Amino acid sequence: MARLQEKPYENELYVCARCGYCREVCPVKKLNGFDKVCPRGKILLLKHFMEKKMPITKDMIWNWYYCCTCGYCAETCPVNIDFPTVVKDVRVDLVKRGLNPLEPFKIASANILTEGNPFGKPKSERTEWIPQSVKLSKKSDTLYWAGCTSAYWTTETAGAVVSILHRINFDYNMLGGDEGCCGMIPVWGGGTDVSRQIAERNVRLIEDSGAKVLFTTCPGCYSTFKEDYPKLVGKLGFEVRHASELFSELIKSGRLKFTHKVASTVTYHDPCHIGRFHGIFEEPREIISAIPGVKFIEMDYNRRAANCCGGPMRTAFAEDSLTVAQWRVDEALSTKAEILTTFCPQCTINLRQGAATREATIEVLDLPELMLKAI
Amino acid sequence: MINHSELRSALIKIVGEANYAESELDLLCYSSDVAALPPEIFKVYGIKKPICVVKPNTTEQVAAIVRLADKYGVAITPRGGGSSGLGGAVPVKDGVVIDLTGMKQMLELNESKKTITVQPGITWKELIDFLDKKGLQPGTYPSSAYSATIGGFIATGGYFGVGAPKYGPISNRIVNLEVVLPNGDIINTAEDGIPAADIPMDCSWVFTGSEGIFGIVTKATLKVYPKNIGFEVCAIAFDSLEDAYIAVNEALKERLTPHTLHIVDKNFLDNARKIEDKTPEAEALVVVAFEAPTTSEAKEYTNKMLKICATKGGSDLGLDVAKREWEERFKVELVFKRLGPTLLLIELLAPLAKVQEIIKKWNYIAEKHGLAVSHFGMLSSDSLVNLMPMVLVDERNKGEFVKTVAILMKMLEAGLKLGGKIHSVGVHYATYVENKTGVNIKELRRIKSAVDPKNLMNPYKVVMGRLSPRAFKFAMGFMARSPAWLDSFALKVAGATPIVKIFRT
Repeated sequence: MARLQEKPYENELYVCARCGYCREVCPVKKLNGFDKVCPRGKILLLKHFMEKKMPITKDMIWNWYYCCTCGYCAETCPVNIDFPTVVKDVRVDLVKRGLNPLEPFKIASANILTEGNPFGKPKSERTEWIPQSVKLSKKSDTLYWAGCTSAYWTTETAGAVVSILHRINFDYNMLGGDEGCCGMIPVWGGGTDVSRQIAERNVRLIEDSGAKVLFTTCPGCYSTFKEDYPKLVGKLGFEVRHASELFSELIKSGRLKFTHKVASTVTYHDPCHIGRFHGIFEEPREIISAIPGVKFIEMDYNRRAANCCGGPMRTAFAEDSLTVAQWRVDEALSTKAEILTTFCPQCTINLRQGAATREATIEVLDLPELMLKAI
Repeated sequence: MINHSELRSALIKIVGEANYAESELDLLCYSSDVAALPPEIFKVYGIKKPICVVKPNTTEQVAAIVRLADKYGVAITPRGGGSSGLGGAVPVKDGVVIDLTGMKQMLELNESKKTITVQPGITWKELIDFLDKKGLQPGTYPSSAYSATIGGFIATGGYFGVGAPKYGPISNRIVNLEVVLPNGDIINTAEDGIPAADIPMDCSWVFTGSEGIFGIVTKATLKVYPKNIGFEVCAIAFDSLEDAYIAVNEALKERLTPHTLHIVDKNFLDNARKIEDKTPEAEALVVVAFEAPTTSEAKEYTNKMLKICATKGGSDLGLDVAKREWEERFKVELVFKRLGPTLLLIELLAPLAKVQEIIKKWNYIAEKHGLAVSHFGMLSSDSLVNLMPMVLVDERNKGEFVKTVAILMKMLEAGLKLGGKIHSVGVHYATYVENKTGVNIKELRRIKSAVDPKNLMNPYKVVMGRLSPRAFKFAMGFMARSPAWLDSFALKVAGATPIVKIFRT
């Protein structure tokens, strides 16, 4: 049986003060009810297993995968433990020791290798979302990476992005049928070898396209490119940006103008993987406030204190993921907003489902869709 | 022998499947708190895993669990946020842990009477946020407000915290407590007494600071206060810790009442600067907050404070520094824990007049053993300071670790001899229970045997500990003096099953 030995994250297990601040904001603690699932519990248990040189049980593996990876805990942590990184490192270590990740993570990784997306959808359908009218320049400094979720599910997000860029004659390129998966699920599932294989492929394709800037609509892709790729394959030959950064710049420079009124009350959900992970809070808000007619209202918990939508848990814990989404929808409902917007296809899907199961009339829109309404 | 499956189904019937846990992982979590101690010391203390953990939502459920435990003769350990480090919320006898963090309802806010009735599992942060929206505030709250619960603060005495110099201990603010007694009876302290122990009504004092040995608080009605508009902070640097305490003493004599005041020394600041490079450089630093109905009044207080401090060599570090230090109040002792990565500390409630003497003695002991101590003191009233000397150590080096624990216990003893008190006992401070603040230990023992004759309600805590004070003191004295490699060996011996018996009363 595999035993855990000294690891880079080991020190963090000792740094943890077990103060329990994380417990109070942890969504999975709220789901499960007991201490073992919150960061304090996870850390305490792993430390105990390591000290006693105990074999890692199935329950322990489950526990380390039962996490939203939202990083809210890290915000409250008085000793500055970057818990999402600890989660990632522990999972990598578990896999290295021959301890398989949960089944859905394995299936998703296999799907990526064969079909280029975690859902197992046919590769051939990937470009179906791209409107006929879109004519891409052969070579461009800027490359749009739609990501699997928008290519297959929230195609309206990607569609809105290209429509907007088309209207302002913005020069950009896409990889088309060559665009694959960023590898976020294997990255978070501990499968370093698969992750590296995927990263190498993508980086080669992107660099070969001549792009200097890669922009994504999906915060998962963004964070994977920006934070994980350099760790896997070294420094990238291109800059990684989120679409919200690009669009807010285009608005500031006057190139993108909203001409139609959207007379609605709007609230915004901060996606964890651009918000807390990379500090992108203001750009989406700048975009929203540039839309004429919009009355913007914040939820009580926003920016660094935004609650998660449960999205990342969809991979292996669909039911729990939906419950977390419902909580966030409830928060949005209490603002009395008519539109709940976010800037993430995964958050959009989850919140939409949350709203539907709450039988709420609130409209859930990915921000590019809302922008398109105003053009 | 306890019939586990019978107990399990009876408990599940009360709280429901989702609020019952007995997996190995769950039980391990509920057999520890904030304290990092070697497993052998846990063994000496007799700390063990519970049989199971239950999370009730209502008073009736708590009462039913208590009656059930009584029937089966199993112990109960009530637990709030588990943010204390003395072992008060971890079991030392086979039984059930009642996790009260599921009891999270704000029951009633009476704005005209300025009281709020809450369930005990609400954290102080939640209460602060809730009241803030209504223009109110709770008075003193613990610096661990993010995870510490209302029930936990009451049970551990609530002697100090943020706002303590102004609002006093929690006992000042309790209007009523609903308590489930060890026999399952539900009483309200404002109306009922405890007949079994001949205690008349208004008996909330019995349950304040007694760490759940007489019953479980299931509802608390507390006073609340209007939020003061005026709130000013200042940070003052001194040339020595001594000067800082002299200045604070002077300010209190001038009848200045800070909302919160803490004092740290050079070691503390030097360590903190390794984590947060904006930490000021000084031999000692006083951070003080004043509260008043208007901003100008609050400013008047800070100005007066700065003036008094200036006469003792204190220099104003400006508003930016003060605000930053104030923002750190929820981190306090944890700011630089990472450097250890283990942080060991003791807590002593010291008379202000004795602080200098105590710190001098502590420094003497620490120097003798080559220990680098960071001093942190938090003003608890106009005459008391909660002192927290802290030491960084790496618990992976067991010999060093246990030796440091022993030296700190020696320091605690020295502090107690000089007139300091402990405020909580748990299991860790059981040896020094006679020095607990504000209680008559004989009276506590009398009440305990009257209300809990079977000794099932948080047994072996506060009173009737299982540790033999003589054996414990001897072991600590030995470990403080002997070299670390020997301590490591001694620890192994102490944790061996036949030897553990020596430590039992």
